[in-house]
Amino acid sequence: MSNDYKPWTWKVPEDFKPLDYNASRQDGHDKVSGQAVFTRDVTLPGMLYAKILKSPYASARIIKMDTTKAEALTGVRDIIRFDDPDIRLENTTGGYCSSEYNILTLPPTADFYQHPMGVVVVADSEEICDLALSLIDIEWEEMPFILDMEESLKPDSPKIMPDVLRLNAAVKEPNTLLTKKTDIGEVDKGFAEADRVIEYTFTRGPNTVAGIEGMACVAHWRGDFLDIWQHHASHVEQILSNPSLVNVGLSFVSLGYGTIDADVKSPPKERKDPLLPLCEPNRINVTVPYQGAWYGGISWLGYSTAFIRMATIIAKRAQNRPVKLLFDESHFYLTGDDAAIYKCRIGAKKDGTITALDWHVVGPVGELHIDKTHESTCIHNMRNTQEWALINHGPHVCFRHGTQCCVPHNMMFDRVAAEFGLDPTVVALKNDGCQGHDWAWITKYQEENGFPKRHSLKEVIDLGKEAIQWDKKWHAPGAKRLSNGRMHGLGFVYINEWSWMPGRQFACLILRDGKLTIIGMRADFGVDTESAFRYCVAAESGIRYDDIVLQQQRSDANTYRFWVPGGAMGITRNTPQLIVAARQLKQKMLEYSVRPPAPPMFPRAKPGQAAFPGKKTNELDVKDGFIFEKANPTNRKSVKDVAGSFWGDDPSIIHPVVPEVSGLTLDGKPHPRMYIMSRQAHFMEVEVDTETGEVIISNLVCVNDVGHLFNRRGAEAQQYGGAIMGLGRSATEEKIYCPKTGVGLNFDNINYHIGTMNDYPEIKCILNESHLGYSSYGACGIGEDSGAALSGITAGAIYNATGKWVEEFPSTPERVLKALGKI
Amino acid sequence: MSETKKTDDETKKEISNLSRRKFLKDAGLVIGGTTVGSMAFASGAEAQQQEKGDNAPSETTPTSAQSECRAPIELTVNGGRYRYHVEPNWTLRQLLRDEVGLTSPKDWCGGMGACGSCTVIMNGRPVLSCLTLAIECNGAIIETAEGIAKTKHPIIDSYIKWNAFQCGYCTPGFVTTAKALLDRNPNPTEEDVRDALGGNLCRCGTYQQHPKAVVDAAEALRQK
Repeated sequence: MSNDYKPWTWKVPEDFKPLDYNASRQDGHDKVSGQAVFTRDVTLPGMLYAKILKSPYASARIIKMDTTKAEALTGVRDIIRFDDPDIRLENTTGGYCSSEYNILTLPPTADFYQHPMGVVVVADSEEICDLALSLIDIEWEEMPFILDMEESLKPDSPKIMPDVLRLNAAVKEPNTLLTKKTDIGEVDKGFAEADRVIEYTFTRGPNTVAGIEGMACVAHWRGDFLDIWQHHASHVEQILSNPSLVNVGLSFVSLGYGTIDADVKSPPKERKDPLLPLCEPNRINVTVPYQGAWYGGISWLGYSTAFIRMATIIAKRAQNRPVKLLFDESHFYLTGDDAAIYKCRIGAKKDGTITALDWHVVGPVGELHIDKTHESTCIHNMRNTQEWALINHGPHVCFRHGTQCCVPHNMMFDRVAAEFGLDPTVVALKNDGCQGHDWAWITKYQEENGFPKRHSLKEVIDLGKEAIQWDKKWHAPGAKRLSNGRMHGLGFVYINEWSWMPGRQFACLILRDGKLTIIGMRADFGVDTESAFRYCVAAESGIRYDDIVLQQQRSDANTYRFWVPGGAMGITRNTPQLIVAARQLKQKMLEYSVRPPAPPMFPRAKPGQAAFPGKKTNELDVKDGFIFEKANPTNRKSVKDVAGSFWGDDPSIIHPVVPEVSGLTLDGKPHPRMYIMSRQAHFMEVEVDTETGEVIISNLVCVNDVGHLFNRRGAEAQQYGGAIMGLGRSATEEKIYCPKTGVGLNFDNINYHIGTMNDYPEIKCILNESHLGYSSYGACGIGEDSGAALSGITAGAIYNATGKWVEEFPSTPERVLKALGKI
Repeated sequence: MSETKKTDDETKKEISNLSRRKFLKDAGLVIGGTTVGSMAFASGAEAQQQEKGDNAPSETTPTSAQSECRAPIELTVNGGRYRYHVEPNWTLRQLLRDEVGLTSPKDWCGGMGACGSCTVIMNGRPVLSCLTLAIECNGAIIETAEGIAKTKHPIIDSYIKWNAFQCGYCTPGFVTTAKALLDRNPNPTEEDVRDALGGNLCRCGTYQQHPKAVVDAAEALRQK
């Protein structure tokens, strides 16, 4: 425990105001002018291209493959089959799924439609790769497939994905990956205390990240050195320098949460030649160019892992020619957030107090579905049973981390409010708390640990209600028909903010010629964490904001990198270290000011003098790029003049390591958990056409408690950006599979419904600063969680409009009509 | 497979036979250092122009095998004249990216015309370069986001000011569509902007910033 390291208690620098829309954005011109280079844009001299076969079947095995015609095609340089000894097929090398199972890098079996598998073609151009792939003759054996997880859980179902390693020790034949029951408190007693027990079931369809820049990786060997250009993955050096991913720990960065159970049921097959690292870690240079958005979740990070390993292997065979490995845009549809069935039982009292909940969820498991509810309520008694079986979909886990928690959380409040005729905001406040503790208890915790006494949920609800005029517009379900004939409805969701924890990242500050450089490998998709980083360093160091840049394309051989992913996590994880570094830099500048530089090398040269002779460091300060005497501000010298003369003997390079934050105290005793106290609330107004089922969103207010605000435009962008994604998942986005073939029917931008500019109203974004986060000055992140929180908001609004529950997400017009009993 | 028979001498020969245009482009990239940046890509196309003067068309010379099916076209891109021998199936997007060396016409939807990320202005109208054949562009005047920025059109600064982008991948498509709107309607309402940009997709969800940025740019244009 470190009582000394409490970034939320740090004093905010004087004159600190959040960055506004007028501040420069260093990536602005590059991106708007189209000159920004993304991984897919990277071109190197002599570069080859590589593409992987996509399975046309949901489940099939390659029986015979003839590549003769493809080999004869002009421009084809290499064809690597699944049985090539260079392809390391072991389950432990491929990894792009979760800690529960692993899908192979280039297997002979297709486990889902468009599974990248079987063979990879290397050629002079992308077009030749495509042509060559089409010339490969393959004899397939189709195998049984299952798309319904409840079906797959049955003991008499056919075994699917037979070659895929089930990693959890508790797997069950044929397809069950995980069965888990978690109880918090005394659930049965909680139900016994309830005035009423409410039961309902709802489902969520599979959706996708529908990313924008197709996955690409360029690998180039220079002898034993390896250069990698890649689209957003972390810890590439570890991925490539370990013989198998088990050595990396298989945690978070590679395969999702958790670690592989040592007692796996099906250990990796033995190979005669031992697996060797693909490259030594200190010989790898990683470049992360600009990154086209591929928001959400861990599954695509896993894709990156397998993808980068394959690019590296292919490039090795290309004998010093660089190779760009490409996925098609359709690969976006192989990941995302998979379908789930939620069977819920809620015990509640007439005043809205929830006494117990029991959620049985059949679907992919990234974390406990009750996690966020536990974090953000005082509900004592919770049960979560989870069942997860393989189905012939792509590897889906954890898209916009938390959606799977937020939707049942808010459905519960909507249902309880409806059951007792209560306002859902009242029910939310009634149950607010942290990990079973009520807000009075949390207030005490705030006092003991240096937080302000604030009630975040009340604050964000008050702000949101006022903005949408909730009290004026709220009505009983199905009670308000508008003059245009449509039914009017209001919806509300809330949950805690997350991305609240400071991190231990490694960035470096270099001050030279009066200009400051922050070095750390890029983690940001474009939500402008750069500006926040530049600004907090400027505020703490006294260097001008416009004199600070981020150099963030390179990893500098495995040293300096920002937390992946960027955005909300970027602010919370990285700013504490940057602020500590900026403070150390400032101290260094002040020390330079009062001492002379080292004696010159040549005796005839004049020795330098202190910039402020006879002064002490505490008599000086730094602001706007000048060091000055506090008592006499006209006595000033530029940072460039003062620090520049020390570069040769004592360069201004700062890279502190900050500790972890953990173990706060309560009642004078160490406490193992920290409590997430900041909240978000979102309010929606809809018009429902009961003849067509169309739901028109006429008003949306998003209120997020950022703790401390660094960058207004960046935070707002997270709000409206997250809202658009959440609304997509709530109302329009769903992958459709053919039940007879398992083939994806809408894996493209035409048939998969991403909203356009004309589908949503302008979203009103309100930011609250409670300083209840654990990061610098009390900041917390808001981006990832906004999208997750809004993922179910349409259900409550449609209920308020019509008095009927739509029990399937997304709430398409067809499902609205079904709820209304019209079809 | 035949990898060994092609990768040694033959590959070295192929690398040594890189075209002058490609050599200049790649040299720019290497000179640019470890950053494979936009300067490198711009340098390829611009080097040709500088070599021949702004008004002389640049050109590529097809190999004998290629020339059998390629057709000559001449077009103007961002004020520079270019002459190419194009294959019948090349799209304008391919030409602009692979031959002219521009990066702004992007590919999100896989050439289905569904996202607007590849939009360029052709003879004053916004077109989807992924659905436009290069061979149809003989005599065309093309503007891309790079060219719009080069002329210091206010739409660029306005997009930056209003933060009408996040990851930036789809942004050039919005910028070209917006510029084409401003060319034909110097005083658009936010509704006009929504109509014009309604076919462009953005996964970051930046939609609500675009109307403000375009209306602001229109105001700046009127004050010019």
